[in-house]
Parts: sequence; structure tokens; C-alpha cells
Amino acid sequence: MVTPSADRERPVVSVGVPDRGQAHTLEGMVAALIMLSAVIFALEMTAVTPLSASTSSQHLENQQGATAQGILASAAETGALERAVLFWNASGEQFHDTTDLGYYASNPPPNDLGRMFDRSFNSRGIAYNVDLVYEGAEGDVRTKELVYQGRPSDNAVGAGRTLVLYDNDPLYDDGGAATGTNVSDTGDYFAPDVSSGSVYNVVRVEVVVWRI
Amino acid sequence: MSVFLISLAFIVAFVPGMLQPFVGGTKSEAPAANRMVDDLSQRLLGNASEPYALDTDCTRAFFDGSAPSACEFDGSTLAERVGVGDRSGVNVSISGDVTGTDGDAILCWDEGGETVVERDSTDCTPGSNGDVLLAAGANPTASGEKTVNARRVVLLDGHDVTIRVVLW
Repeated sequence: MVTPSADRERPVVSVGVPDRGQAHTLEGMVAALIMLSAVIFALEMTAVTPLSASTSSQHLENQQGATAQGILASAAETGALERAVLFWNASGEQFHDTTDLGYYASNPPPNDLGRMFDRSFNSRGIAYNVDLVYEGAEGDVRTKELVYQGRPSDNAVGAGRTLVLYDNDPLYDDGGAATGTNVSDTGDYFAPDVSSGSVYNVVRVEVVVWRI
Repeated sequence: MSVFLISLAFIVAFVPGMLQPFVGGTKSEAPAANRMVDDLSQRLLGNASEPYALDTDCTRAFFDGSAPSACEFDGSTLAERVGVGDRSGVNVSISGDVTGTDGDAILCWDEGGETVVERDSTDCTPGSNGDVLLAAGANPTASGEKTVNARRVVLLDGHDVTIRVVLW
């Protein structure tokens, strides 16, 4: 026996309505996910803030630049900078213990300056180039590479320090001791004697630092 | 209704995460940490005419709490010396590799030998014999907050050492 109330509970017109509601809900959810993914994607592209852990962090660049400046200042104070620039093998016409390329690449220079770079940069995964900018024989500005570890990235920073070489500054041997040869005594040093006075040449040591 | 609640929960859970890199955090501490470490390395612990070369007497005095008139800093607490508010946490330390063998360690002034040694050296007994550990301030790892650190390489007692400021 069918009651009237049971008849009202299954009206013919409502067949299929619950299914369409589910479809609309799923569609809404999928649309929302697509919108959210688009927003996340857009934010990810621009989310480089001063402290985000990327190579383009301004804060890290400041630290690297100031560290390089501090190393150059410390090395100049102890004389390690001058000894590194005069760390020249006159017979081989290159710095001591370099490869045939004439500069240090994978290893730092085997002297005090190199050890300072090694402590502050090599152990932190930071690469650096060291260039020596000096005056050439014709009064032009020339560059000699001391350390070359590759092409700097877009986020490299630099620091520099000027060093005056005098005629009576000695060259240093591969143990770091002064030799009897003055820089003006040999014609094989990379920088020429550009001054008639006691100044030999003025070298600007430029360090370029970047994270790898 | 439940779908609405799930969506709302989803948005509440994820939108702050998406916006997080842009708001708050330690943004204001970064310039302060740089200012402090520049001050320390170029003026306070040495002489402004020779930046990055620290004076051993002033460096020792800075960490043991005295303030000689010959040194550039004054104030009784670490926060006053580096010029930072009371509510900020700050830690200053000097580390280096004096022995040249085992990497960086916090340094210690050895009054007996009148030189800097590493913290694990037997010559370092902070608090006695005039030895001073070259570190000051609260422990940053205990705060559990975001920290900013800034470092400079300086010359101390003939060694290249790293001075580090952690701020939170």
C-alpha cells in the first residue's frame, strides 16, 4: 500500500538534479584551483625580496662586496697584497705555480692573500676573479688576470684597492720570501716601469665576487 | 555549504603563505645589522683612519665590558655600544682560523700569550687570567625567531678574522 506522502517524495521532475549539482561543484572547485595556480605562478615569478635565498639577494651581495673589501684592506695592512702582486717568477714570466694560462684558476694563489681568499670565499661556495689593472708602456690601461674562475654572474659584486709599486720593491719567491731581484731589475715583470722617479707602476687590484 | 567551508579553509591556509615574502619578517633588521657591522669593523673597534684593521686592546675591552677612553665606543651594555634598541636581540662574535688547520672557530684573547687563540685552545680560559672570549650577546638559536646576520673580514692581531653580527 503506497501512502500519499511516499508519492510526494519521488516527484518525476526532480530526477537527475542531484547529479548536476555535483558536476557544478566539481567545476567550481577545478576553476578555483586553476585560478589559484595562476596566482601562485605569478607570485613565484616576482617573489624575489631582499632576503629571499637566491643569488640575487641584495643583502648577500652587500656581504660579499664588503667581505672582499675587508680582505683587500687587511691584506694591504699586512703587506700580503703587495707580496701577492710581486709573487712573480721572473724566469717563467708568470706568477709562481700557475698553469700555462698564466693565472690561478681552481686553486687560490699559494701565498697569504690566497689563504685569505680561501678562508672567506672558497669554503662558502663563492667564486672570485682578481684582476690587476696597471698602466701599460704606451700610457694605456691594461689588465692582467691573477685569479680567473670563470665569467661572473649577473649578480656579481666588486671591490678594489690601489697599490703603488716602487722601483726597489723586491720580487718574492714561491715560498713567499723576498728575492734579491727588484721589480725594476727585470724586464720580465708584467707591468712596465712607467715613471722616471722612484715609483714603478700603480696597480689597482680588482676583485669580482659572485655566488655559484 | 561544506564545499564553501573547504574552499574558505583552503584560502585561509594558503594565501598568507603566498603573500609572506612581501610582508614583515626581518626586513628592517638587515640594514641595521649592516650598519652595526660596518660601524664595528671600520670605526668602533679600531680607528676610522684605518678601516678593517682592529685594535687588539679596544677589541678585548669591547667584549669584556670595560670602556677605555681611548676606544670609540661607550655604554655599559652590548645594545648601547652598538646602538640598538633594548627589544632587539643582538649577538656579536669574532671567528677565524688562527691555527690554519681546522676551519673557523670563535676566537679568544689569551692575556698570557698576548695573542688571539681559538676557543678550544688550552690557553683560553675566559673569565680567568684576563682571557676574554670574543663573543657577546644572547644565543640567537634560543630565540627561535628569524635572524639576520652580517659579516665583515677584518685584521686582528695579524690574522684575517670574520666579525659577525646576528640581529633578531
